[in-house]
Amino acid sequence: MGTRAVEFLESHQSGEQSTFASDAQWRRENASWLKRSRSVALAIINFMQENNLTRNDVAERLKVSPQYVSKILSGKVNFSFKTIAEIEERLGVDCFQAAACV
Amino acid sequence: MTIFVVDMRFERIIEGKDHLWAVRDMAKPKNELALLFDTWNDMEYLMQFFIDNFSDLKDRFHIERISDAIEDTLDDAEQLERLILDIPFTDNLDELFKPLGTMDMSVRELAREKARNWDRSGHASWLRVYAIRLEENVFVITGGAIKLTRTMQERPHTKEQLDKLNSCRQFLISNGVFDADSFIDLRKEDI
Repeated sequence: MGTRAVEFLESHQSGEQSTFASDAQWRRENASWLKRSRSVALAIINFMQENNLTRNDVAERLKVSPQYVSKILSGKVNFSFKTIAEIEERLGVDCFQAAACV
Repeated sequence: MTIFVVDMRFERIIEGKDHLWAVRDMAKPKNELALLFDTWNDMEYLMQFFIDNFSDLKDRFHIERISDAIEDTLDDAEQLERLILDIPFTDNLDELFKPLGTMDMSVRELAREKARNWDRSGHASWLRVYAIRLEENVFVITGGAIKLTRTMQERPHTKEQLDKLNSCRQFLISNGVFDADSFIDLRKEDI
């Protein structure tokens, strides 16, 4: 039997299970490659700030949609070597170096 | 501004434990705590946030590279996540949460509290998780924010979190979770 406060919370539950712990577990289990993906995104963000570029400017240079740039900048992309090479060629950002330094 | 809500739903954060709960807005896909950590792990959101709040970042924390601020946030969010989920704090949240202002120190129940990574090296942590303390080691998280200013009232995104704390507290009081005769109006203090 819980306290009055806990009983109140239980009687006002959403009916769904919290995803917080499972989200955290996913982040921990995928931490290794996420760090590399984030490093690539950070290198591009640095490039954008140094050159005063917007997401649309980067999309134009990469010849992709602004939505795809958003995806890259989210830090949650499992990049292929081909994509990394294209970003490096078109932006002049050393993504392999950034990903290797984590 | 305190928004008076007629109904509020909650989710238990760790199955089998009664100590930590979060508010769930049923119009949103997750509860407030899960949404908070989603945003703190979304680098595009963080980039835009630090662009929008660049002067606060620069003036108060002396950080000029957006990528540095994002990196600090990601690291800090990871550590705070562990503090919430791992022992010893998960069994003793009174060590992790502290009263929001001096007026909250004087109330025994339904105090507004904040958690952060208190031992962060380098600059102080700017990540905040906000909660109402219902009783010893029982908390309801109402939200959180990246706080770059001295007080919550200074910026709309932190002011909004203050309003959410006050609304949740008001909901709990109006539902008899706490003795209304002992109610102290906490809304007037700069925090």
